[in-house]
Order: sequence, then C-alpha cells, then structure tokens
Amino acid sequence: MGDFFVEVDHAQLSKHNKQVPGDVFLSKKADKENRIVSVLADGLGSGIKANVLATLTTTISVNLTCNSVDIKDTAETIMKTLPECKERKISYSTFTIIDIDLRANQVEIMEFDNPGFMLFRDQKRKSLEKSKIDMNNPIGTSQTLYYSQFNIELGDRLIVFSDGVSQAGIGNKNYSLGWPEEEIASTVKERMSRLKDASARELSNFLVEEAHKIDGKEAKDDITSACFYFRSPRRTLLITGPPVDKSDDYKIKRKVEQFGGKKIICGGTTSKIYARLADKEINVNLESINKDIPPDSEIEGLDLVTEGILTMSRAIELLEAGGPDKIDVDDPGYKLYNMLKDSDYIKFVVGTKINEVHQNPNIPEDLGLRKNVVKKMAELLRDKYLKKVEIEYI
Amino acid sequence: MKIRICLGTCCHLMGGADLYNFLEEQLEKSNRDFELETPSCLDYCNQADYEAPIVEIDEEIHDDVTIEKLKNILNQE
Repeated sequence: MGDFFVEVDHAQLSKHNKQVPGDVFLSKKADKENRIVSVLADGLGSGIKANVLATLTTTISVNLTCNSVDIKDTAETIMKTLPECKERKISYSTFTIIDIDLRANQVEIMEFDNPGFMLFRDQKRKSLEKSKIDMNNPIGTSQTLYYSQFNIELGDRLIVFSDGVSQAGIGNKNYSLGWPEEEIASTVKERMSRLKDASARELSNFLVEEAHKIDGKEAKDDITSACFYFRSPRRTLLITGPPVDKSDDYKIKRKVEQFGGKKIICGGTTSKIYARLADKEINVNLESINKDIPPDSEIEGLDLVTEGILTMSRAIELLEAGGPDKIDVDDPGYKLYNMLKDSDYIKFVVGTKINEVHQNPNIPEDLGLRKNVVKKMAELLRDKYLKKVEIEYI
Repeated sequence: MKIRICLGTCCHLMGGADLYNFLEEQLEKSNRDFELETPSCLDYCNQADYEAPIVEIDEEIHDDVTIEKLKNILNQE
C-alpha cells in the first residue's frame, strides 16, 4: 500500500415505500489490498427486480475487474451479455466501475448512464477529460460509455451517486429539473470546508440526507451515494489490561508516548497505572453513567479512557450489528465503536494479568477473559471492517 | 462527608451505578453537605475480604452495599 489509505463508504435510502433498493454499491479489495474495485449500479425500475439486476451488474463487474480484466473489457462484457429492456429499449442497468490501483497510484473509471462522478482536490472540484467509447448491446443498439483516468493525490475525494441524488426534487418548484450538478458540487464543497476531515461515511450520508430533504423526505427514487477518501492512515492504539509482571507497568506509559495516532485505554486498573506513571489526573465523565456500562474518564494525552471488558463487549455488539438502534453519544461503548470504526490501523496492547475479580463465581458470565474479548474484537475489525489490526501481549 | 462509589467493572455490575443515582438524588434533595466521587476502581474487590459494590465513606470502607444499607449508614452518620 502507498503512503495513503483509501476510505470507502456509501449511504443509501430506498424509494419511498419500497423495502429493497434498486441501486447496489459493491466494493472489494484485491491483489493483497493493493487494489480496490467498486461498482455502483442502478437497476431498471425499482424494488426487488431492480435490485436483482443491479446486483448482477455489480457482482459480475467487481469480480471480473478484480481478476485483472481491463475495466473497458469488463464494461464491454456487461454491455454485451446482459439484455436490455424489450419494451423501453434501454439498458437494464446503469453502472459506474471504479478501479483503484494503489501501486500505480491510479484510478480508472468507466461510466454508463449514471450521473458523472465528482473529484474534489484541495477543496475544489477538479474536472477531468473523459473519453467517449461506443459499445453495442446484444441487439445492436449503440450505447455511449465514458472512460476517465487520474493519478491519486493525498486528500483527494471521489464521489459517485445514483440519479436519486441528481434528480432529487424533480418537478418541485425550485428543482423542476432535479438537483443541478453545480449545486451538488457546491453543497459537497461547503460541507468539506466546514468539516475538513469529513470521512467517506460522513460525506456519503450527508449527500443522501440532502437529496432526501430536497425530495421532501419522501424519496422519489432510490438515493445512493458513495465516497472514496484518499488520505493518510488513521492509527489507533488500544491498551487494555495490566502487564503480567508489575515491573513491566512502565511499558504502558512508553507505548502511549511512542505511538503516533489516537490513544485509548480500556480498563480501570490500566488507566490508573498510566495516570500514576505519567503523573496525570483521572476525571470520570459523569454524563456517561448508565446501568449497562461504567462511565468513561478523561486523562490528558489520551483520546478515550473507559472501563475494560464491559465497554469492549458493548463495542463488539455494535460492531457486529453495524451500529446502534438508537444513538447515545454519551455511551462509552458507542464512543469506542466510533473511534475504532474511524481508524484504519488498530494496534492492541493487551496486558495478560488475570483479573482475580473476574474469576468470582458471583460475577455474570459476560466477563469473558480479556484475551478472548480482544481476539473477537480484532477479528471483527479485520474481517468485517477490513481494518489492519495488530495485537501485542505484555 | 466524603463519599466515594467505586465504578470499576465488578462494582458497576453489582449495582454501583444504582448507588450513584440514589446518592445524587439525595444530594439534590437533602441539605446535607457531602462530596460525591466516582473513582474508576477503588481496588478492594480483588481482596478476598471484600464483596462488590464498594463504597468509601470518610475513608471507611463498606462492602456489599445496597441502597437500603447505604440509607442506614447515612442515617447513622
């Protein structure tokens, strides 16, 4: 991987009263994480049928491109093999294929009938020249596709979206022709200038929400937006548990001091060791007191200080579920979940001293061994959230 | 009066948060002058002689504390 990390995320809302969206976004890493292939497809119509059509398009094109098929050939295969609607004489699914090659520092994009992608560099929209490619579909109708290519620069943000965004508000007094491209771009730019480090998740959510508002909170079509943010990797250190040997306590302080990135301590005893060695005060955040999880604390120099096993178990629940049903910003487990989710590289430093308290038979079985809880959390972050994870035991 | 309620894993699980909420209510209601602290762990629960939740009142340790027990202690003080 180069000197930057590619954060990919998307947001989606189904057409009002439809359970299943007809837009599908799919992303896959290939070549030992040196390539990322993503496809946004919008199936003809809406609901289940559109979803099946779009799923076919995304799955085939992601897999072909990941298997080193040239992006233009992938597009041609899709165009030639998948039929068009007999009644409407239009293609069954529009698509945008994005092939990111981190070794070559290059992005290639093939677009067919989706709204054009937007590239933002240095907070400004960057226009790119697109080459026009004509391809015939199975019944010989010529269709026009667009090919673009650019070299990645640190801080670039690439945004793609379905026509649910560009046609938001269509027919309304102020948006008779939908949401104009320049307005979409200026709305995104304004958001980025306010929130300079906005994540891919925040930006894609924002764009979908704005389009939804323009639609009067009743989406006229499926609204999908995906964002690619090329940035420096976000690193997080999570220390939990005291070392086996008390004489190794100094390692906790040293690890914190030497790490570049966000720093978290999960564990009352561990945070006390750090506070004592670093000569810092611990201030308990009483706002976060709730029945399920002990409150978090503040220690100067650390980004988050929480209790250990219960808070980590809560974060695991949220990671498994993909988020909370109801957001409670004071919930220490939610804070931990958010910080982990917003990191690309997470280093766990796990003290292996057995906590005698947790061996007490009166304590609920929720209190698994710290090592197992960390292992589960690390697996989830690695497998489900594609994070780079490292575990060191002390 | 200085009251410290342990909110470490063990004490929290065994009802520490309920004790805190009760005391906070008392603090608002009564005219008694007491200082309430919630350390992340008082380190008593790993000693065989003590059972969670632990509350320290004016440097005296009380273990296996319930709201009823706490009411009695406060009435005696």
